[in-house]
Amino acid sequence: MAEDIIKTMDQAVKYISNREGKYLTFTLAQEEYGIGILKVKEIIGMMTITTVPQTPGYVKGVINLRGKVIPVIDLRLKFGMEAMEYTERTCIIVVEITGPNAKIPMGIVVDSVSEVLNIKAGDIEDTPTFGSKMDTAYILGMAKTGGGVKILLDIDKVLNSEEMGLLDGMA
Amino acid sequence: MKMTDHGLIALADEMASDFLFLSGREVDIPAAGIFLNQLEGVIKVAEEYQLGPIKTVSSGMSFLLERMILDAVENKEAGFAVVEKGITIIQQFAQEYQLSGKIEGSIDDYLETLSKLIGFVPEGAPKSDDSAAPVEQDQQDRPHDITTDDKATDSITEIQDMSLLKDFITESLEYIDEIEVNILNLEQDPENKEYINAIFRPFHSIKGVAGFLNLDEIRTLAHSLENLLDKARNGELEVSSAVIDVVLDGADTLKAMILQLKNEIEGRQFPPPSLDIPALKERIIQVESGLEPPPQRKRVGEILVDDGVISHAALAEGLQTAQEIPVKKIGEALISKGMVTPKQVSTALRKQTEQATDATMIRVDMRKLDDMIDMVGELVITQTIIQQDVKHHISSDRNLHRDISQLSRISSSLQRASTGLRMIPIKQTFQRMSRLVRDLAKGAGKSIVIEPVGEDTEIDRNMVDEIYNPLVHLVRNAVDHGIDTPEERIRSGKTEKGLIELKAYHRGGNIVIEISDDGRGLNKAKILQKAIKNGIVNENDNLTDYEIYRLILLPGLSTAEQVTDISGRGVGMDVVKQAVEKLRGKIDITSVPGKGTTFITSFPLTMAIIDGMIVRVGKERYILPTTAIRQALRPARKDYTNIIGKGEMITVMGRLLPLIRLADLFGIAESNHEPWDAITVVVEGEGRAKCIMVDEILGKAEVVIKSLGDGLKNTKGISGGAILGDGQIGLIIDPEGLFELSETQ
Repeated sequence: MAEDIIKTMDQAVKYISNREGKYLTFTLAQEEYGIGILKVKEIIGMMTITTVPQTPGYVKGVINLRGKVIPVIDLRLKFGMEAMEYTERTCIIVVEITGPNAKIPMGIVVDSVSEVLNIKAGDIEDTPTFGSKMDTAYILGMAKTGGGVKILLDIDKVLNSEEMGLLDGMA
Repeated sequence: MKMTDHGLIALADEMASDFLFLSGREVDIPAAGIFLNQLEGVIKVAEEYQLGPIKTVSSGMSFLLERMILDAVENKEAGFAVVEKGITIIQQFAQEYQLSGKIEGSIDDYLETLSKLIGFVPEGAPKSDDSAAPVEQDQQDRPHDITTDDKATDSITEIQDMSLLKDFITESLEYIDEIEVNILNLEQDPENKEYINAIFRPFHSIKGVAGFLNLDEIRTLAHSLENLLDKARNGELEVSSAVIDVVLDGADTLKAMILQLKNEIEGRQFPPPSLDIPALKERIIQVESGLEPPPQRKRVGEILVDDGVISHAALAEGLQTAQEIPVKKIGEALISKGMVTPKQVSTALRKQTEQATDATMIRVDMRKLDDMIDMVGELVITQTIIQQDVKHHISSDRNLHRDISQLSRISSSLQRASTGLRMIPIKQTFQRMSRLVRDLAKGAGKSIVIEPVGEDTEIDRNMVDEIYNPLVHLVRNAVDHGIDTPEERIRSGKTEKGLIELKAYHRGGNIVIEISDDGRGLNKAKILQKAIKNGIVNENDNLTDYEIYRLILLPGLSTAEQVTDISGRGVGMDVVKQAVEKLRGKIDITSVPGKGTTFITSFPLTMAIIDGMIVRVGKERYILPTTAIRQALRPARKDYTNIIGKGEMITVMGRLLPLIRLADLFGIAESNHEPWDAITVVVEGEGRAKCIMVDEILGKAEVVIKSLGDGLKNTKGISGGAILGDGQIGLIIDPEGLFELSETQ
């Protein structure tokens, strides 16, 4: 019995490190995506974005988040999807990605935010190879939930890998 | 005692303490995320042991919190209250279960409040009658709970040690800086017990903490130095230059050991410095060859005597008067006797408080300060916006107007005060340089006294490290080339000891640092000769003294007769000039032959604020640094030429300058297409000047420079962002980067 408890407790702890856990889900071109809740700093409505020249198209620019200047990325453009006019439901999810030296706050523009979901390990499947324009390295896995399949994103990889290098190399 | 509940109680307690981080006006998503994961753990345990009520409560809380993250619960405070109540219920149930093996409390009331907030009753909610369903669990003895994992405890201690260690390193390095300075003071005034004490104390502190952290080598070395100083303090040992040297060497060795430690904990692999600690200890013992209590805070009377205001005898007399009935303070007694003026007493009192307040400093993480300064900046912007709104909408309420003006005064002083927090006195930089001069002078066989003036002049913490290198070079220069050799000095009727003065003061929003020596002065003829030889100036050019002196700031114009290991390889002054200019500073030289040379450098007080001109291009606003702007003009049509292959040019005061269309370069829709309809700003950078075409000049502003973040900070032509008066961001133009960009396109 005791072992069981310890196991259960361990599992509870592992939620954080494992793929299993709470995800914030959002939509992007009718598709549902999820980001680990611990990566999310806050969700804000659309606000004026200052365009930064000499940056790839998906870099929308920078916003003033309570006195801090943070870059904003349009996830549709990043994933090579068609651009969409921003609506009432368009949100900026502020995430914290792991940079080489420190955590870097970054905003990502999504069509709309849906819900916070608890996804169990058993419901997560590894990423099938798509052969499409989307790099599967970004994807943690696919989650089967009542409402369909959700694509779980490794946001560090989405924003880190290339962004940093690419933007550095552009100069 | 049973295990289950134990785990459950632990989980519930953990949640309770985490809740403290979670609750507030806004939902902190990461904290909520962790909390949700804990709830999930509770739900699992509850499921396993069929603790229905706990499961229901946790599920309800979980759902509520999820809604709160998505901002779907209007009354957040009520939400937090419900979550808090939920934790208490789980804690109670867990305890109940531990004691009796069942849960009897009712959760109906709770579920009612909860469902009001989320709009429905959470799944699994028991009907009112089975809420008390006995949850019989096997009551047999279970193996004794061994939750304390030794390893975990160990690693926690390790982490604590690590942060202690880091603190120790930072503090000790500061202590050593302190020691170095005071040793130099002591050398000038070996009798001064205050200085000895000021050296003794930091060694003592290092010893103490090192002992606590089991850093034996550091502890024993600090201890032997402490002993040595203790003897000096007690008058058993004369403060000779041998003592000073060994203490300095000791401080150096300690520093090296601490830096080594720092490298180790940061995981950097450096060969350990070759330190001969036993030999040093031997020397300490040799130098060390009898008692009054260490002076406490000085008494007012003593300060007056020290300042030469009154004599010892007068003090004694005054003290006696002070003892008489009615008892007076010494100051009053002395004033009543007419021995001192009230002003003298107040000066002495101030000195006394200064001594006392030395100890009331606290160290604050720079990031916390920066965050606060950011927030204050936002406060001022919001305040301005509110002020505008009120002006437009409500014009009759006079009280409101008065209150808002008051608020605006407070917020601007708050802003001033917050930027002031980052300012530190230049003292430490001067002290480091004193140390350097001492070492260099020894090496060069010169004897030099260093005199700091205006050590309390403040400068941004971020600037301190930046200005150090150029200043060091100037100091080296003064020691090496400025100050003449002792023989030369005696021949020209000067004192044998050379003097280098370091002077700092504020002027027009800048900090000015002057480095003067009383040496031989610059040799005009020689500089000119060399400049002519290098083809920099023409023999017939009639240069003023000032112009001649400035020549040494050009590359390849060192006039030193011999190349030393300190300076004088022909690089140097031009590098210094570049470094100073990179910091948006200036450098000037004055020199009197035979009397000495002064280098006057001036730097902005902070790199965080820039004076700029806000310009508009299309819908975007940019900030051009004022230091780079030469002029702004609307060119006449005739001044515009398009040279095939070279691009568009504008003639400004007879010079043909390339035109940069900011709108094209940055891909923005501009409102004016023809340069003669628009405004061009002549901007200079790296010795070149170009015209930048913009739509409109919106005004001048002092803005705080903010980095665009790791990903965007290297954007060419942009040096950062600034939050403008309306809370939006304007990008700051980096002229040099912009020039390069325009040339590559």
